[in-house]
Amino acid sequence: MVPLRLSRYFNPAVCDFGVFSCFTRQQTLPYHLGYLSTSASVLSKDNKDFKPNPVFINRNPRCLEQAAIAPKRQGWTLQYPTKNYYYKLKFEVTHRHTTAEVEHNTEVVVVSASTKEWAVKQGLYSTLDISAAKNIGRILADRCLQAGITQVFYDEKPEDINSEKMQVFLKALQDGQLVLEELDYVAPPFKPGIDYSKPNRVGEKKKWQDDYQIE
Amino acid sequence: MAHYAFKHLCKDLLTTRRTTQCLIPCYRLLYSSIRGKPHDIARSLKDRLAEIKERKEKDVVRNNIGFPLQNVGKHLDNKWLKERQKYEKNSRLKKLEVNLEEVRQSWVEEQMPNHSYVLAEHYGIYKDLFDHCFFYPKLFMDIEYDVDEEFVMPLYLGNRITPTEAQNPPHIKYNCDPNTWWTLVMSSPDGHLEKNDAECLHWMIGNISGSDVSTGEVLCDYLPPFPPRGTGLLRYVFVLYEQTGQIDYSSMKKTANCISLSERTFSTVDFYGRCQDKLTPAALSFFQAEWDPSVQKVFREILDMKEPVFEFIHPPNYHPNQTKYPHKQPFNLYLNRYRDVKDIQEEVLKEKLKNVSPFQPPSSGPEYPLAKLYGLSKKPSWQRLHNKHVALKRHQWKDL
Repeated sequence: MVPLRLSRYFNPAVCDFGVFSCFTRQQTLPYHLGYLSTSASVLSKDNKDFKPNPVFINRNPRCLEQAAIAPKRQGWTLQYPTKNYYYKLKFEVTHRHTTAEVEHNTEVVVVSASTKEWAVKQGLYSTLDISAAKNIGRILADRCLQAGITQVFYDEKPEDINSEKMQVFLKALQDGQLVLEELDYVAPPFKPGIDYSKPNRVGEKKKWQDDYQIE
Repeated sequence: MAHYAFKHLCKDLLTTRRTTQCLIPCYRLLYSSIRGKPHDIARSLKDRLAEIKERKEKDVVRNNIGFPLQNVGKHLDNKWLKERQKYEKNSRLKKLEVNLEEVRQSWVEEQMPNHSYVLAEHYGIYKDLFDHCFFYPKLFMDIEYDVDEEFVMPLYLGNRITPTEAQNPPHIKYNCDPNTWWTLVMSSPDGHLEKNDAECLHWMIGNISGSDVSTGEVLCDYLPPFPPRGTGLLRYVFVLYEQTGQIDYSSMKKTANCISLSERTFSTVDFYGRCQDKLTPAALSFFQAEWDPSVQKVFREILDMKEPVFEFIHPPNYHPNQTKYPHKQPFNLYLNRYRDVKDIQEEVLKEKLKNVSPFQPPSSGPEYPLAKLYGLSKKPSWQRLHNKHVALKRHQWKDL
């Protein structure tokens, strides 16, 4: 299993004073004054011997994406359609139906809404008109928020400006509190040099090992 | 526009695979070292990803452990053609708005099993909880946390809930036959602080008769979620199992008001494996939660332990082996790349101490740091770049 998220455990002894000092950030974080008073009310000693693991692995595969730490697919500079997104919005009007989808980077359709569904179709007059596009937008925004997707990438095309269906659809998405822009990838800060005393990746084959982040 | 047109041109070039049989030898001679294999012989990224996925899931057994998926497609076109007339006026005036709650109710009957399967797979629920075995949810639980007297926080398939909102046990509703027996388990596949492969049990109720959760036998009391600071979003999963009859859970029962985290260690696979003759998973919903100030309270008042704080560590960069005569590499950057970090830090510290005086207050630096470098263009470019990085406090000079 590839560790998705690994972290360092900061000396918990500092917590006694209610201050969290971060090694790299060099600043103190706000703390709760209530701590000193509550520490007196000890309920049990069940967790006295419990020691948290200094390396915490978050197995949630979507965790890094939502913090924009997971690298996006780059693609080529002039490639069309672009690939640097986590979730992409797709809207399609065929001869009979209106369909909207949110596709993940790995080409999995995660959330979808279509007039092919009886749940959507039963309240509509037509499966192709402007109110169909609007309602598909409302339903898709609702489903996205229920699935924990708040931001999607929308690849704007010039012809979309003249399409009333598309405009109504996008307006409905925004009214449903779905953001049509994604966070930029946060690259790690660059520092030259290699730390030879810790696990490093010098002159080996580009094969991932599980203990790279563990110090 | 020109840019857009060019993109379209490139689309054809990049996506279509043309047969270049006659060109292969030519390619190999001229560009083999630069470009790699020709278009139709080299694998695309899609092929490579598929190959990796196949290799990973080679030994994985995927079984359907739930109820069989029922055919839910409805063919009610004639009914729709008759009834749709009443929406015509609003539709033509572009005012038609369907009721989202009604859509949701019919979605639960129609597409819910498929859609929630896709989302659970996407969030890795089946992988981490059931060891790649899967099930299609048969029914949907309405789970709601009471935020205050006025508002509730509903729970769906992966939406975000703050730990403040989830302080008290939620209200759970589902439709079922009153003579059936159910088991509810809430666990977190990411929330165990000691073992990264284990789960933390938050709530467990067995032998629920019908849909009334309060009648069930509480096997483990509710513990609010406690995602540690700096660990991102953790998943908290509710799974509802249907029982064939009453089950004797006396061996699995935790002590009342159990706080011990080692006692709350849980494995869904083990639990399900032990009772799989009598249990079938029937419903699934989950949420994601991130650290907020109420977690401090949980650690200090309920769990009575020091609060751990984590930070994300980026994986180290890859460097090829150092060569004596590197081709087309700027020598200063190339040599810096292979230096030991400790040497670089020493150099930075020495540079820093030049400007630090114990008798002077610390200076905030010049207002326009590049101004002093102006007019010194006769120096070589690598030195100018170095001076620029130092003046702007870039890269290793950040702490100067």
